[in-house]
Amino acid sequence: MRRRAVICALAALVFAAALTWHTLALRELPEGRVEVLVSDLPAAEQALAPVAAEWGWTPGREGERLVILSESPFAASAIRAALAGADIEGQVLDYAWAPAVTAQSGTLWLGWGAVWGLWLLWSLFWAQGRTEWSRAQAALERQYPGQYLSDAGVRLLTKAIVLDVGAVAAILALQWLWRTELVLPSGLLPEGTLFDPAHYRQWGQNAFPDGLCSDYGAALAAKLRLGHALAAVECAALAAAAAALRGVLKQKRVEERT
Amino acid sequence: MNRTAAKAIAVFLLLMLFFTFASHHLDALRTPQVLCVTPKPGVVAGERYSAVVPSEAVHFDRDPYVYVVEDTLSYFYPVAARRALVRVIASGDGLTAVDGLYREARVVRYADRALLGGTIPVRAWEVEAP
Repeated sequence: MRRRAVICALAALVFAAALTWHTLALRELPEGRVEVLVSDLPAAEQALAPVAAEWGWTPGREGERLVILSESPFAASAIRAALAGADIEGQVLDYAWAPAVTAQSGTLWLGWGAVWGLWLLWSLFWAQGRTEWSRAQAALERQYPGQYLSDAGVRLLTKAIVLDVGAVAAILALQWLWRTELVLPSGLLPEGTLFDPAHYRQWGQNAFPDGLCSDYGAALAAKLRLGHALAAVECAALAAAAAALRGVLKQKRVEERT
Repeated sequence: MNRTAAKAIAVFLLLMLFFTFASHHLDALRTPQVLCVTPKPGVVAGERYSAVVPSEAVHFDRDPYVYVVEDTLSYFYPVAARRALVRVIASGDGLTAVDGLYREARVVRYADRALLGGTIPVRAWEVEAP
């Protein structure tokens, strides 16, 4: 029991450290933008002028590329359509999703924590239900039901109230989990099977092309890697803490019984 | 034996709940998000037409067609995009005059995922395209 309590405390410490680091790392979110790589920049600027005026963008140059600041999921489609309309071939790098996805990495632990919280609540409910059932069975062999309820009434009522509170918390957590919307980088999710490593490799190559990636793109990739690595540490720490806590509760129940 | 069976049922129910949530979110992520426009009267190539849409809203597959967003009776897919054949009357300056659309039709201008098939569940972006 003591070992499990130590694991639980250690996991909580790791979680707190990772969360602090994560919060500090996410103080500055990358801006959403779309980059256009074309050989003829003036022609591309001219082609994008109507769509830029329509959407209120001010395309800027950054080296050999055009940069349009936008967080709209349709910005890249609008730019591709405008370039296609002017018969200009070029590569459009869509990073409009960057701020939402980066910020989301800092809140992934909430969903994961809610799942483990529900699991703990379920374990508690299951264990207490079993304990009370065996107690009632044992008591009713030598007592009338009225006498048993009179003896155990306060305890059962307390547990019923706690169960009600737990049920409300579980419903709220489930509702939140159901309604929460996830954000993924555009094109990351394949049309077919999810288990296609080639698709993800291709997506990585398209989003962050070797040799064509801007400083912004390289910094974004690094931030996404760090953010999601920290999110994985937070989730692992939460899982370890929840498993250890459940072990502690189970052990306590066994000790109470014996 | 009874205890094992009860435990197995509990684990099964929990797994079912987990996969229901996972599939719901996956479905939402795979549902294309669309930005719509309403056909408006406008001038194309010097002529005035009653229904003009941006050229990128019109697709060609033997015959020209657009995707029209409509509300459905489905609880899980309340909005769907339906492929509707149109007749292109004129086009130019990034605009296309079409025939075959009703006045209040919500025509898909952009989608964040490819629209494939005759009727596809979609999520309509709140704001209309500029």
